[in-house]
Amino acid sequence: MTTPRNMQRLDQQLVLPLEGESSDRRSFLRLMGFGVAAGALASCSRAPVSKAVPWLTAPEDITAGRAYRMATTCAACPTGCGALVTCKDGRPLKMEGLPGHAVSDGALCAVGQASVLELYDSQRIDGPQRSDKPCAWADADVAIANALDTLKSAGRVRILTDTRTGPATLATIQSFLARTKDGRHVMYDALSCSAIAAAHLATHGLRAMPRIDLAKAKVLAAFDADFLGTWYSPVEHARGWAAARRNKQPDAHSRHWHFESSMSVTGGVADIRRRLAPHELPAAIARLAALVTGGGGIRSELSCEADLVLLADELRSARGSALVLCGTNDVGVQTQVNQINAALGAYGSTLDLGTSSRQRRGDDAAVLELWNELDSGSVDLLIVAGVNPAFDFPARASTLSKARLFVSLATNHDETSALAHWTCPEPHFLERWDDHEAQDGVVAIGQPLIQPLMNGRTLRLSLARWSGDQSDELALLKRSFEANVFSRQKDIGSFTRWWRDLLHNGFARVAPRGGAHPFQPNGVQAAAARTAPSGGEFALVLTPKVGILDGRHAHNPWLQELADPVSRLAWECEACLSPAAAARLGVSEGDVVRIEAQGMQALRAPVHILPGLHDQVITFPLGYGRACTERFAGIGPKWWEGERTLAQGQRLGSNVAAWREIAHVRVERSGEHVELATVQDYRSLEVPAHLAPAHGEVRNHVRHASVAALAADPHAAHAGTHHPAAAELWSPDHANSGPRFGLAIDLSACNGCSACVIACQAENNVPVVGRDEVRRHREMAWIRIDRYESGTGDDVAVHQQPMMCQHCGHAPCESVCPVLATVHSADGLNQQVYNRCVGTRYCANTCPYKVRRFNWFDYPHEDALENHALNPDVTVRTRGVMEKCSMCVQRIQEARLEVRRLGLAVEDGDIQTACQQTCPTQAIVFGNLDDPKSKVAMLAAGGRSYRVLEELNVAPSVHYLADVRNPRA
Amino acid sequence: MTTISTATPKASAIHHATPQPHAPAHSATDIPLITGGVTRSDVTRNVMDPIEQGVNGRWWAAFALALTALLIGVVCTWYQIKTGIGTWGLNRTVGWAFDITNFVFWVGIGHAGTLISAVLLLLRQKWRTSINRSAEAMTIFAVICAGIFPVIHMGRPWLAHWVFPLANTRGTLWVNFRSPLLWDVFAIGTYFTVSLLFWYLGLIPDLATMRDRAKGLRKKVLGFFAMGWNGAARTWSRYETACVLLAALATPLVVSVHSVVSTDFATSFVPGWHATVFPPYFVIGAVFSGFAMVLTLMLIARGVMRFENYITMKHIHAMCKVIVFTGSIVGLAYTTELFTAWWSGVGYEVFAFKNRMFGPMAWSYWIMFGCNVIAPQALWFRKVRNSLGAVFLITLLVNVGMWFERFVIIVTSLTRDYLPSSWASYTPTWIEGGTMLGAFGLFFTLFLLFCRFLPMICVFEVKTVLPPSTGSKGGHH
Repeated sequence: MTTPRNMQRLDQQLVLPLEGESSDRRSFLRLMGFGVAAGALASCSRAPVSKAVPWLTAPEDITAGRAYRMATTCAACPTGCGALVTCKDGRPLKMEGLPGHAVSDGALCAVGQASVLELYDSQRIDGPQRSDKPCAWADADVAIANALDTLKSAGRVRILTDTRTGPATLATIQSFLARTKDGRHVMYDALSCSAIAAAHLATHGLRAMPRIDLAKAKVLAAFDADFLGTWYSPVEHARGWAAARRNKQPDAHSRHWHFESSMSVTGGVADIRRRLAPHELPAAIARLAALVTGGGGIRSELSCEADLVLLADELRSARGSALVLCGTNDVGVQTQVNQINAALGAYGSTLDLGTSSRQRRGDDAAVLELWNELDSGSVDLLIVAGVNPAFDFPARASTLSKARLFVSLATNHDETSALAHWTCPEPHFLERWDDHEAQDGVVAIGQPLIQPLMNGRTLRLSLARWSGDQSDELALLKRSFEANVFSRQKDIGSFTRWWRDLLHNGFARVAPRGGAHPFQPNGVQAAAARTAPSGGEFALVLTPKVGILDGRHAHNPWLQELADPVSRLAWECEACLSPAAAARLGVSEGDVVRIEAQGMQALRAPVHILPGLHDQVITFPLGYGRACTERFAGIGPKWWEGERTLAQGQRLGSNVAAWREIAHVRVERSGEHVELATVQDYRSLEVPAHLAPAHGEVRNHVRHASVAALAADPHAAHAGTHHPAAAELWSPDHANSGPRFGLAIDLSACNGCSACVIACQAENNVPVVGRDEVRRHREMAWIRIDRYESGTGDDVAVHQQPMMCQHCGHAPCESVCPVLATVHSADGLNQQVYNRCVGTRYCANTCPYKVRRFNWFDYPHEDALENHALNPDVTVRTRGVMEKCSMCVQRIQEARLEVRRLGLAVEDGDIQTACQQTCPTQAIVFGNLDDPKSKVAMLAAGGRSYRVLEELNVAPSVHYLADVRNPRA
Repeated sequence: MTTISTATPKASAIHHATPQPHAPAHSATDIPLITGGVTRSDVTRNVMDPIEQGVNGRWWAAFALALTALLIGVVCTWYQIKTGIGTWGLNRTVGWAFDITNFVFWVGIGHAGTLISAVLLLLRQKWRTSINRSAEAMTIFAVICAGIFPVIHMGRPWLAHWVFPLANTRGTLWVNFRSPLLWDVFAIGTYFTVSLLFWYLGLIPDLATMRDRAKGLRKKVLGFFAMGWNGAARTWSRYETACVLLAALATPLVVSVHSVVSTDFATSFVPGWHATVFPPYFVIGAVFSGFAMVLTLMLIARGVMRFENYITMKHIHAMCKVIVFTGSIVGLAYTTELFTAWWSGVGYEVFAFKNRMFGPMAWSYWIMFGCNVIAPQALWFRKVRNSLGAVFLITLLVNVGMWFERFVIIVTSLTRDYLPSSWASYTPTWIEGGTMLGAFGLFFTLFLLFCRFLPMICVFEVKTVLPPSTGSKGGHH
C-alpha cells in the first residue's frame, strides 16, 4: 500500500547524511548498499495505522460534519424529561428538550443540559473492580453468581436504587429477586418526596404522587416547595406555571403565594411571598386546612395569620383551579395538604392521581428498615445502583459493609463504591439502553448514542447476567416491552412498528394503571410537633441548589461553575443568613461561621447574606463535600498569584447530610474570613443611598408592573421612564440586507433556573475557569441571569434578568475596535472575529451591558476525552481574545443551509438559540425583528416591551417584556 | 584646551532679537538666568565634563537603582506575555487599569518637553534654554514608556502590528479609522517622530562641539551625528530656520496628542468618560504633569550634576508659576466635570461623579484632588518657591496626583457603570505593580544614560543668555 504518507516516510529514510564526509568510492558503495537495503526494508514495513480515515462505507444517514438528532430520555435525575440529543461526528454533544414530550415538552433543566459532559468524564470507572482493583466482567459475574447460588434457598438480597420507573428495569429487578428467597427492591431519593406518596397512601389509598398541572392553577399557594428550581419536576412545573401567567386577562392571571423559610428560586418570583419559620409550617398548614375546610376556628398566633385568612378566601373562591403545594417531608403535614386540596377540588383538575407522577418513588420507611437489617448483619447481598447511601447517610456508612456481599454500580468512584466489595459500573445514560415511565402511562426509551467510552454495564444487564441470562441488552429490553408494555396500548397492532415509533418519538402513551382514588378524610393525620428555636439558636434548613441538587453531579465542572441563581456564588458551599440575623451575629459576607449541634461535628461555612431569609434560619446547601470533587484542586489557570480552587485532595464544601434530623443549631463566628467567588457583587437596582439623590435612585433596567396596572394601561411598566426618541445624526453605516435577528425575553416568565446558562456553555464551548477566576470576576458565561433584590424581610422582591450580548444596531463596541475584530453582520448580529482580535478590551470597557468576556488565560483543555464534548461548529477561543454571545450564529447557519438544501425559505421558528430551546418557561424568543408576523416582532411591539438602556440610542436587538406580578390590590 | 569650537553662537534671529540679550528680558526680575559668573568656556566645560570625564558615584547608584527597576519590569512583562493578561488584576468589568493609566500618565509627562522646546521657543522665553534639552529628552523617554503599555496591554501583543494600516493579504480587511485607539497610534507615532527630530536637531551644534573636543573613534561617531556642522553663518541661519519650522510643526502636537488620547475616553459610553471637556482638560493636565516632572528631574540633576549655575532660582520660579497656573486650570476642569454631570441631568453621569467622590474608591479621588489642586497652591508664595525641598515635594505630589487622575478616570468609572449587576472592584497584582515600576526604571535608565553621554544643557543656547560681561570674558574658544 503506497499512500502519500508512506512515500514521505520512505523519502525521509533515503536521505543520507553525506555532508561533511569525503565521498570516496568505498564509502559511496557502503552508503548505497545501506540505502538500498534500508529502502527495501522501509517499503516492506506496514504504513502506520491512522485512525482518521474517511468512511469507505459510510453509516447510513450519517454525513461527516452534519449533525443528527436522536430522541432519548434524560437520566440525569429520575424526573424523566425527554431529550433530543444532537450528535456530531458520532459524538453526542448537546442535550436539548424533546418537543412534545409528555413530561417536559421540549425543555431541559440545567442539570440535564450539563449531564452530557459527564459522558466524556475521563475519571469514570472503566470496567468492574474488586475492591479497588480492576478485574474482568467474567470474574465479577462468577463471584456474584456463585454467591447467589448459595442464596437461592436462604438469605436476604437487597437492591438499593434511586427512583427507577422503567417497566423493563423493574421487571428485571423483580425477576432477579424472585430467584432468591427474600429479595426486596428498596428505592430512596436523597431529595426525598416520600411523605407526599405516603400521605396519598393514607388519604387516597394509593402510594403515589399526583401529577401537578400548574397551568390550571389560578390560585397557587406553595409552602417550602421550590417547584421551579429543585423540586421533583422543575421543567414540567415551570412550563405549567408560566402558562398560567402568560398573556392572560387580568382576572385569568394566576396568583402565586409562597411561604418559605429559605429563599428559593420559586419564592423569588412569587406574587406574594411570606417568610415562615420551619417550626411554624405544621401550624400554618393546619390553620389553612381549618380555614379552607370551612371551620375557621380560633385565630392563630402565627405571624402569617392575616395572610392565611386572605389566602384561604382566595383559594376557596377559586375552587377547582386552586392548589396548595408543600415540600416538607412530614407525612402528617402532607395529609393535611391533601385535605386542603381535596376541599378545594384540586384532585381531578390541578392534581391528577389517575396519571400520577412516578418521578420520586423513594420510601423513607423502607430505607430505615434496610438500615436495621444491615445493622443486624442479616443482609447477604446488597446491590446499590444510582444512589450514594454512604454520602446521603454518612452516619450509617459503616453499616453498608456489614452486608456479606456488597456490590456497587457507581459510575464514578464515590463514598459508597469505596466500601463495596465489587464495583460493576453502569454506563452513562447516553451510551446505554434505558427505559422510563416517569408518569403513569407515559413510557419512554433511552437509547445509546455512542459506542460506550467506558466498560460499563447497566443494572438491567448485570442482573440478567447474574440470573444466567446471556441475551444482549436490546433483546432484553424489547422482550420485556413486548411482554409487559405493548399490551397496554391498542392503537398499533404490530410490536415492531410500535417499537420503531417509540424509538423515533422517544416516548409513547399507554394505558395508565391509575384509577379512581377518592379522598378519605379519616386518613388525615396530625403533624409531628416542631419546636421553635430557643433564644440565640437558629433553625437549620438544608437547601439544594439548582445545579448541585443532592450532589450526584457534584463532579461536573459546568454545574459547579454555574452561579447559583439565588446566592450568585459559584464553587462555594455557603451558609445563608438574613441581614438581620447576620447583624445579630456580627458577621458579614464571607465571614466563616461554625455551626454546632449536640453530638455533631461542627460545620464550617462562609456566610452569604441573603435578604428574604427568615431571621431565625440558617441555610446550608446539600450535595457538597462529595468524593469526586477532589478533581477540582487544579482546575482553572495556573499562575503565580492564582489560588487553587481546592487544596490538593480536599473536597469542595462539607457534607451536611448527617444533619437532616437536626432542627436547631448554634451558630458562632469563627473569626476567619474568605472572599467568596461571586459573579454579582451588587444585587440591587437601587444605587447606594449615599450616592443617590435625596429621593433615591432606582435604575430601570428591570421594568415591572402589576396585572391590575397593566389592565388599566398596557404601557404601565414604562411609567416614569419616558425617553425622547433619539435623533439620528448619521445615516446607518451598515445596511441591513437580510433579516434583522433579535430576541424577546419575557421577564415575568424567567425564574432564574439557569438552564439557558448551561445550554449556552455546552453549545458555545464556554470554558470553565475555576473558583479563583470567578472570585476575580472573570467568569466566562455568555449569558448570565442578573438578580436584583429590593426590600427587606417579607417585602423582598426579586427580579431576574437574563443578560447577554444585546447585538446593538449602533454597537459602541464596533466603533472602538482598532482592528475591526467586532463588526455588524447584514442580518443584525454583532459579530466577534476571534482570529482578528488583538485583545485591547476597549470593546468590553465601552459595552454598557458588560456582556463581553475576555480570555485572560489559555484555559486548560488537557483532558483529551473531555475535549470530545466540544462543539466542532464553534471555535475554541485562544488566550487574549474577546468573546461573547453570538446568538448561536452556528445554529443560524446550520438552519439556513438545511433550508436551502431543501429548497425552502427560513421561517419563523426554524432557528432556535440554545438558550431559547431549553428554556422551561419559553421566556426567550428568537426571530427576525423585521418580519412583522414573526413571534419576536409581535412580542417586541407589545405594550410590555422595552429595551435595556435604550436611552443610550445603541439600538439593542434584545427586547425585554416587563415583569408582571399579581399582588393583592 | 585650545580647540576652536565651530559651535560659536551667532546672533540668532530668535535668541538675539536684541543686541543686548539680557537687558529687556530681565526687566521683570533681577535674578539673572545664569548665575555664578560663568564664562562661555565654563559653560562648555561644565556641561561636557560629565560626558568626557565620566560620572560620579551618585550617578552609578541612581543608574543601578533604575536598571533594577527596569529589570523587574522586564521580568514581569515577560511573565505576563507568556502567561496571559490574567496576571494583571483586571476583570470583566474593569478592562483597563494600570496599563492605560500608565500610558496616559507617560504621554502626559512628555508634553512639557514639547511645550518648553517648541512653544516657549516661539514665544521667545529665554529661561527655557537651560532646561529644554533635558525636557525634550524627557519627552522622548516618556513617549517610549507610554508606547510600551498599549502594546503589552493587548491580549495578543505579537499581533500588535495589526493596528497599523499595513498592506496585507487579507483582502479589504484593514484598520478601523473610527477607533480612537487607531488615532492614538497616529498621534503617538507622529509625536514621537517630531519630538525625536526636534531633539536631534537641537543637539547638532553641541554634538559638533563634542566632536571638536574628541579624538579617535569617538570623534568619527560624533562627526557622523554632527552631520558635518561647520558653524558657518549660513549653517546657523539655516539651522535657525529649521528649528523654527519644526517648532511650528511641533506646537500643534502639544494640543493634538493629548486631545486624541482623551478621545479614547470621551468617545466611549462609560459615564465619567463620555465628556466633551476631555481634550482641553487632558492637555492642560499633561502640561501640568509634564512641568512637574521636568522640575523634579531638574532639581535632581541640579544637585547630582552640579548645575546650580545653569538651573537657577529663576528657572525654578518660572516653572513653579507654570505649575500653579496649570494646576489651577486642572482644578477648574475637575469642578467643570462635576458641574456638567449635574447640569446634564443624566442619572448615570451624576452617579459616576458621586461615586468617584464618595464611593468605595473615593480615596483615589481625594488623593488626586489634594495633590493636583490643593498642593500646588502653596507655590503662590515666594517663600515656598524659594525652598527647594518644598518645591521638590510639591512636584512629587503633582506627579502622584496626575497618575491618580488617570487612575480615577479609568478605574472608578469602569467599576460602576450602567448595570449594577456588573459592578466590580479592582485590585492590582504584583505583576502589574512590577510592570509599572519597570516603566519608571526604563525612564530613569534612559534619562541617566542621556545625562552620561549627551550634553544635558544646550551649550550653544545657554551661551546666548549669558550676561554680556561674563560672556565676553572667555575669549579663548
